[in-house]
Amino acid sequence: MDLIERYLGAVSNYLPAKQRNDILAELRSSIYDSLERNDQALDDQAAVVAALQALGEPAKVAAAYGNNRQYLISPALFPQFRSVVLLVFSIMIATQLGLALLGSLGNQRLNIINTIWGVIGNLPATFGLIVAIFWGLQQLEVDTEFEPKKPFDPRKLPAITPASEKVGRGSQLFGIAAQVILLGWLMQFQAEGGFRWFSGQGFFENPVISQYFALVVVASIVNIVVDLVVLWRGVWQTSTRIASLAASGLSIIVLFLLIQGHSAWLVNAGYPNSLIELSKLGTMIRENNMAIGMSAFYYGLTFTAFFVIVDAGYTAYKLYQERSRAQQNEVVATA
Amino acid sequence: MIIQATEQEGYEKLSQELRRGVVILAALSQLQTPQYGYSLIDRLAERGFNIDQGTLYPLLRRLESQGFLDSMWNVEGSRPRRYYVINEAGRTILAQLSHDWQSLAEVMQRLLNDEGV
Repeated sequence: MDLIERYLGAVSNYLPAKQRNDILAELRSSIYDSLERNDQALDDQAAVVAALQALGEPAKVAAAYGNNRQYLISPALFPQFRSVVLLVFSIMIATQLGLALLGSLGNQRLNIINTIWGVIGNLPATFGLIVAIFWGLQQLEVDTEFEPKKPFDPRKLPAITPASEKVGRGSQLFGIAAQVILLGWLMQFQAEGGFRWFSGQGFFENPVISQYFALVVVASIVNIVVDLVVLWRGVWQTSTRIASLAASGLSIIVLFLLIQGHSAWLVNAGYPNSLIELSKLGTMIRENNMAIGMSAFYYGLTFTAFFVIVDAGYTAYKLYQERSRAQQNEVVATA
Repeated sequence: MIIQATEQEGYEKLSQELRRGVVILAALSQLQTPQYGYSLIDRLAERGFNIDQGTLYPLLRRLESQGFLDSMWNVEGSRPRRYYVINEAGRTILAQLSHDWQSLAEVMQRLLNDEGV
């Protein structure tokens, strides 16, 4: 009896909550039937073991009741997932090693083991973040198992597109990787109340990031999802351009708010926005001077905003071209 | 010895795959009257078709969720049991699958005879 309940308990660990009780009741009843059919008592342990072995391993039995979607990332998304992981990890390792080397230039001390440990320590959390993003994307795309699928129609395949219309895989992956790293830094900011660098030395609290934290995270996630969808489609279409433009628009709004916030902070603190502070970047970072950090953020954000605006302008131009071409075709067709 | 064991395992896997396709047909054919899981296993075994419990029980649920079987809990016996019975949609699909099976069996017979297997 105890063995049967232990077996059912093990099966229940793998069952979906919705059907759990019903499936367990049916299995319990079937196990008793099996013993009764062979004139075996419930306290005959050898007979119970044989009955449970006949039924199969708990995980396999439960899996047979599942909907065969026991994965976090579908095979269709896996190639993109692998590319993003490799790129993000490469950038993270290179950046962190580079920063550690830069930091060691002034004080001549570089603890190799600590540096490597610092780099490796961040990788699992980043990996988890990427998995969570792809899992979320997959939830948007999955269709129900019993929904009738439309037959494949080759006539609906996209037209052959010129190379200029194909999505640049490298640039798209780079954009995704940059956003994932930004998200990782934001998570660190959220956990510690600021940013750390050089193997945990140096701490910088940014009040403007704190103020707009939720907005920055949302904009970052929106951009990652849109970039992934564009990468997945592989071809620039009107829909992907509009989505990309909308995501860029959101980024520009957020960047504008952040730039304004940093500018206001610097003015209030008595530091004009000048490049003079940046020339003393290394020393002042080590001194934990907040003004230099805020100044670096101000220029970094301005630089980023410039690129986002140029990119959005280019996308808008391509969209305009596409729409004009479509309208011309309509006119020709009507004539 | 190792080679023999591998061959036997290979045969068992292939045999299992071969039977997997006809399990649905076998189960539907024996559900004209309500049966609970173990009684259906017994009934199939009596007629020479052995099937694992771990395969049959999930299959019955899947056929029910696809609308080919009806089920109800019966609490009148020594213990509550879930009974399954074929419904109208199930009968239609059974007729179609039976027809497919007959054609397939004929074709396979011809193919195997041609090759002198």
